[in-house]
Amino acid sequence: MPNACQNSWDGSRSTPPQPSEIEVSLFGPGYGECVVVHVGQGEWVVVDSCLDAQSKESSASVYLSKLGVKLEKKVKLIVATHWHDDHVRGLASVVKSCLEAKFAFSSALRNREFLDLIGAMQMRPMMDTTGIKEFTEILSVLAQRGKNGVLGDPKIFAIADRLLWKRDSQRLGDDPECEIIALSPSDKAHARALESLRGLFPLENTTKKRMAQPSPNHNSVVLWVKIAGERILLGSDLQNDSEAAGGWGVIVASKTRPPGKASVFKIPHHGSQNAHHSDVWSALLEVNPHSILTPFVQGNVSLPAKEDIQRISALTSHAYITSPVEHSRKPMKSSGAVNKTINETVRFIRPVLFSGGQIRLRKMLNSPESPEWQVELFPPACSLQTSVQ
Amino acid sequence: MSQTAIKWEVEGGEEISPLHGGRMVFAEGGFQRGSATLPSQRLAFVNPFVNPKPQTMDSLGEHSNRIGGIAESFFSFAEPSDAARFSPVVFVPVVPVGHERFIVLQSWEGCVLSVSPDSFVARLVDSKHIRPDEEAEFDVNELTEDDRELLEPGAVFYWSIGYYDKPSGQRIRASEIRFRRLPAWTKEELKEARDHAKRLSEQLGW
Repeated sequence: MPNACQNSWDGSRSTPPQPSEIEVSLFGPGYGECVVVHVGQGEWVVVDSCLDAQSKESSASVYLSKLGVKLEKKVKLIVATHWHDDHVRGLASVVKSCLEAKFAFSSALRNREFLDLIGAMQMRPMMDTTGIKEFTEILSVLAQRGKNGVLGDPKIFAIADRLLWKRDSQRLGDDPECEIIALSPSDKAHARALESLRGLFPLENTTKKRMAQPSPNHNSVVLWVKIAGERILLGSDLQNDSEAAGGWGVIVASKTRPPGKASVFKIPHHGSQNAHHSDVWSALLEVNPHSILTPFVQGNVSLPAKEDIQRISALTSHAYITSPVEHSRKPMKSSGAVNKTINETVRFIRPVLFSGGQIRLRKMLNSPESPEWQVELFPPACSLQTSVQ
Repeated sequence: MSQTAIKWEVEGGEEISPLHGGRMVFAEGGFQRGSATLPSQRLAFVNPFVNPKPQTMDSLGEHSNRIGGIAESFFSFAEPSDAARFSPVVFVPVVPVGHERFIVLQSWEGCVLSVSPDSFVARLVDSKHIRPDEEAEFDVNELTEDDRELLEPGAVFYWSIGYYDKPSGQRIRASEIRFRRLPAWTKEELKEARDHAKRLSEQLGW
């Protein structure tokens, strides 16, 4: 049974996990998501970034600081699963703070096409998207660190079946073994990403405008985290691909992906139908896995839809969401003339960010007394089924 | 409003002052060149070509409307018409008692996310950074015909809410949406972008 917790940092929320206790925390304030994983021994991995609604800082930085984690030493890996705005807000500041962390991102972005886009957007900063802006900053930090050369090359390109990080076997001792492996993008998805990026570069004599982000997303980095006997599948935003070049079908069919089944699943792309692949649930996941997801609200799109919630709830009784979707739709309170005029002018208005909750899963390794994941829900996080009531 | 005395020399050296208001410059053959800074209030003065004595608009009484037209043409052209030149009086362009202004209560920079036949959805960033980023759906009818041509995903616009004070003194609560008209990418800019990318690539060792 999950524990409904207080949001206050005074209570158990700011208690760090024990060295042999692993943790998966998911943050999602309505637009964006971020995962932090405690891989044991006080070492952490950050996957993507979103902003804390109050402080407007990265949720990962805020949370880890509250736990007393020294970001500059204890964060070992930062992964940008893709460059969409909702996954990289605040990521540059995380990269700056985490001096010893390697930064992994999709190999599909290791090309001149992506750098050309950065070049074009730098010339017209107001045309920038958050995603490009964050990556521009990150690449600048990486270039500087690479020049210093103290910790070797700080960047890793993620592609299917590549090992991104492994706990140093020289000093394992009693520490749990840990490996983090990318399951995507596939080689074909990589090639198609280049075409997609090339298409985004502005053409001569076309009007300047903000850049649209390519969709659907076939180039996200899906992660397989193995800590001792536990496996965690972080689904990123990977969607299915009708041309079988990428997407979940390729991962399911792969003969080279790591063996085993995961007990925790970060559901991809906010639970959308086009990111659902039924074979994932049979081939990559244990029965009734702990499944976590974030909502997504943009324009007329709200995820997960009711059908998505029904589908996921039929597959697992342990599904949790960082906030009910309806919560994300609540408009801001305004007053007076501004409010009146807003209501007369628009069909709807709502904040992009709000106080999203946190889903925290913790589990002691090698502990027969507590063999299950302990679930803590910090409001407005809730079980997926109750999110529609 | 500060008052700036007009410096207007006419034939015979008589100075007309004080007059104040919006900037006005003209020259006339046979007379000295003059310039004036006039206020935003109703003023009239005697045509210096005929009679250098200044008068206020009120003092002109029922003639003020008729004279206004003459004055307008008089001050609009470098070479005044004969009617203006020999009219007994002219007055400076009539500026209303109140002036038009828009008092902004709240403004956003918007970026269009999606467009449908009768509406569009946009991301809004508060110009004063007080409100969080928001999303809103607008009717296309909120836009002028000109702006509708610019409506497409990625287009940038400004949305202001405030009070519009009319010259008549009326106040209207208003919403104003203006799309930003951006220039096109040039060959040089795109080359510069690629050069920048090349430098970045070298720095990164890619």
